[in-house]
Parts: sequence; structure tokens; C-alpha cells
Amino acid sequence: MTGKDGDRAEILDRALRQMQERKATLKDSVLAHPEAAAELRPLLETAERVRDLLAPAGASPTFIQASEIRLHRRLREAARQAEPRGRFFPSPAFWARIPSKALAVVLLAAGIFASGWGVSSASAQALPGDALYPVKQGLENASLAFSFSDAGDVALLARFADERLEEVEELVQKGREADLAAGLGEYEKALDRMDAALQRLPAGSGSVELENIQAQLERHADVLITLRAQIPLQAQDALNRMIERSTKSKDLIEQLRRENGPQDLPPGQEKKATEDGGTLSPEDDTPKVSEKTKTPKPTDTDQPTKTPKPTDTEKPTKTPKPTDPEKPTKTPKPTNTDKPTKPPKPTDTLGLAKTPKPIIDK
Amino acid sequence: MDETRQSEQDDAVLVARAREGDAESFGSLYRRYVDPIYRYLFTRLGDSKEAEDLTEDVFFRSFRALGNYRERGLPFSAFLYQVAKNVLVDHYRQQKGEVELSESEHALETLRPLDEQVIRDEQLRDLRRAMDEMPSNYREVIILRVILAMPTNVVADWMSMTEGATRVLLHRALASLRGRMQN
Repeated sequence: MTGKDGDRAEILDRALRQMQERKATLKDSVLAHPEAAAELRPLLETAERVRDLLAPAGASPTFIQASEIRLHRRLREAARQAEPRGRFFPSPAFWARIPSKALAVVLLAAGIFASGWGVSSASAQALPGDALYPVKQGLENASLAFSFSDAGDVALLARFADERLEEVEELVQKGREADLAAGLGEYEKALDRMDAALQRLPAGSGSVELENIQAQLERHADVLITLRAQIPLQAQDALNRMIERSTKSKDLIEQLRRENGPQDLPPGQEKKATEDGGTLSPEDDTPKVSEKTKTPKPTDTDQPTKTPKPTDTEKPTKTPKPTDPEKPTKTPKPTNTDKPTKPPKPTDTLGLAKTPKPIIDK
Repeated sequence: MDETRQSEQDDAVLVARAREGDAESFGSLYRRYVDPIYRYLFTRLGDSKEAEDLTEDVFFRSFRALGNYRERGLPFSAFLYQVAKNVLVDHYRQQKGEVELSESEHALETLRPLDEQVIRDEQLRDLRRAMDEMPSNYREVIILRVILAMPTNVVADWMSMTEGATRVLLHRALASLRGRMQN
């Protein structure tokens, strides 16, 4: 590139900007640079033609006006609903209430315990970029040697992926942006290993476990979306790639579940409710992962024999009123009132129905 | 003072006031950037209703995240475009589709169906053909800088180039397009 090229490019860019900002017409721009007019005019004409033919229409004035009003309302609403975040550390008032001698004993005990634990314990806290991090990885790999099945490998590798994500969270919280790429790389590697183990699983194995891992990955995506708002712009694309990556693993599990899982269980067959520990982000107040996993699921058995149907508890046993069959007068209500009052439909029992997902705001 | 710098300073003042809850400053920023953000989303989605919904989400998220916004030598619009990119990722994730983050040349693909209905003249076909034949970085700089009218420093950041190199690339891309259209 020569200086002349740069000058001409600068003139073109400035002229284009003035035209885009409606501060000058094409003619004005050419007249302002007579020395470059012969070259400038055809280029600006080309730019105008491209814009006229290919630029999408702008947003409609009706939308702009209505949307601004809605935004003001939504922001006011969000500000009103914002609750004070929970503290990670107790307040000073909490510590003040603890007798100093008791506190000293606890701290001493903790110190003795920590010093006796040795390097392996210290390495458990290591993060990517730390000297002890390879030790931590070595210990994890060693634990894999004690797994004697592909299903065991998958469970362990899923736990390692969880661990990697927690490391990324900690790196963000500590502001260690320099180590973030390494942390995300380790997370991606963990997902790669887990995917490879998943593909080795024999057909028909562990549908409940797969569902748990799927819920876990859904949570990963939520965590990554939350983290994305806390890091510099330049690093956000890396988080986006990891969101896509975790979704890919989730889709793989979905595919495996479709291939392996029961396809046509009748309603009333319940799987054991899972306790995946899936949590929602603090801002996500709509039930999503955890509700999905706690919804009664079909069992793995093919046919129910005597499983009572949940609907039976809803039906009035005495004095049925034909006009208002939903409101029994004497039948005690089920204790679990926030669960579905009717048995899940066959399509939903497969866990494939797509729940509309709320927007996660940051 | 350079007009772009002046505009960025204005933005900084508006952002600071909006952070403190000044509704008028928030409104000014919204009205200044709603159109570019909408156009960007429309080029990626090809559906005006979806683009409107996501545009509103972009501003909602952006203004809620103003507390975390740090001015890093880039205009406020760079922050908005990044949020828009994030919103698109989330949208595609919900749709179980795929999104390509690095390149915006597919904008042309999403423009086509609409354009086909509206304009069917020889000039448009020539332009499309010429754009298709160009190197991808030429195509991308024209889409970002000319079609979407993004500021040069934002385009430079987007394409991981210096501002000077971006200007030269645009100059060459437009000259190349001109030559191809004449042929």
C-alpha cells in the first residue's frame, strides 16, 4: 500500500460517510475534491447503486415509535423487579455475631486440614494457567482408569465438563482474561471427549443419564450466556462459539435418545424423577431445565401393569357434579399442587416437545 | 474536531446519562441506532417481523447491560453490534439452527428473496453477479461499510484490520466492483 493509495482511500471513505450521514450529496463530495474527482465519482456512484439496490429498508416509523415506548416500560418493569443479589460472602454483621474464640477454632481446624491434604488438594483448586493445573488434569485422567464401562466414562467426562465450565466462571470472576482462552479450550476438549464416549455407548443404554447430561448442557449454555455479558467485547465471540459447541453436544444426546429411548410410551408410565441439580441463572425466572427434569417421565418398561394414573386423584370420588367435574367438594387435593394435574401427553413424555424459551437478559 | 470523534463523544455523554437513568438520553441513543441495528438483523434474518423483535431485544439487553459497558476506544455502536450478534446466536440456538459468526456475506443470500420480489431488472442481476464473483473480503467490506453503513472503525474491528487497511480494502473493492459491472 502506498501513501497515495491511503490518501485516496481516506478521501473516498470520508465522502462516503458524509453521503451516508446526509451531510453531502455525491456532487458535493466530488466538487470538494477536484484533484480526485475523476476517480472518486465512479466509485461513489457504484457505492450509491449498491446501496440503492441491495440495502434493506429501514425499520418502519410505527415500529420505532411503539418499540421505544415498550422499551421504556420494559426497563422500568425490570428495574422494579430487580431484587438485590445474594451475597456470596456473609455480611460483616454476620461475622460480628460469631464469638471470636469459636471463629479461631474453626480457622485453626481448617488450616490443619488444608495443610494435611497436600498437593492433590491444592491442585483441585488450580485453574488453567496455574502451575498445578496439569496435576489436576492428571488426577482426573487417573480416575477415568477406574471406570470400567462406556457409561461410566460418559458420567465422569460429563462431570469433567462441568468442572471446566466452573473454571471458566472462576477465571471470569477473577478477571483473568489472559487465561480465558485456555479455559475455554479446556472446556471444548472436555466436550469433545464426552461426545466421543457418548458415541461409543451401546444402543439403548442409560436414557435417564442421557437426559441428565442434556439438562446439564442446557445449563452450561445458560451459564455461558451469563458469562458473556461479563467479559470484554473482543472475547465474546469465543463464548458464542462455546455456546454453539455445548448445543452441538446437547443435540448429539438428543439424537442418541431418539435412537435409543422409548418412542411410544403411553401416558401414566413414569420414570423416576431425576435430580440433576440443574439450576437456572438468577435472572431466569421461568421454569426451564429443572422443571423439565422434574416432570414425571415414562419408565423404561414397555407396558404399565398397575401403575395408578395421576388423573385418578383429581377425579371426585363422591358426589360428582356433572356440570363442574373439575371441582370435587370432598376429595383431598394432591399435595404436589404445582405439578401437572393431568397425565403428560404421549408426545411430551418423550421430552422432545420444545418449550418456548424466555429471553435471558443481561 | 473530526465529526466521527464528536459523535462518539456525544454517545459517551448519552451513555453516561442513560446509566444514571436519564430516559431522554436512552431515547436519543435508541433513535440514533435503531435503524442500523434493524438493518443488520434484517440482512441476517430476511424477515422484518423477526428483525423488529430482535431489534427491541438488542436495545433492552444493551441498556440493562450499560453498567458493564466499558468504553474501549470503539464507538457505542460496536457494543450494540456485538449485543446484536449475541442476540442472533441465542435466536439461532433457540431455533436449533446454525449461525456463522465470522462472515456476513450470507447477508446477500437473505436479501435475495425479498429483492427478487421487488426488483427484477438487469442492473440488479449484474450487480449480484459482480458481487458473487468478488473475493469474500471485498464482498464483506462492501456489505458492512456500504450496505449496512457501519462506521469504518467498527468495520475495522469486525474484520480485525486497522482502519487504514479497511479504507484501502473498501477503495479496492469498489473499484473491482465497478470494473466487473462494466464488463
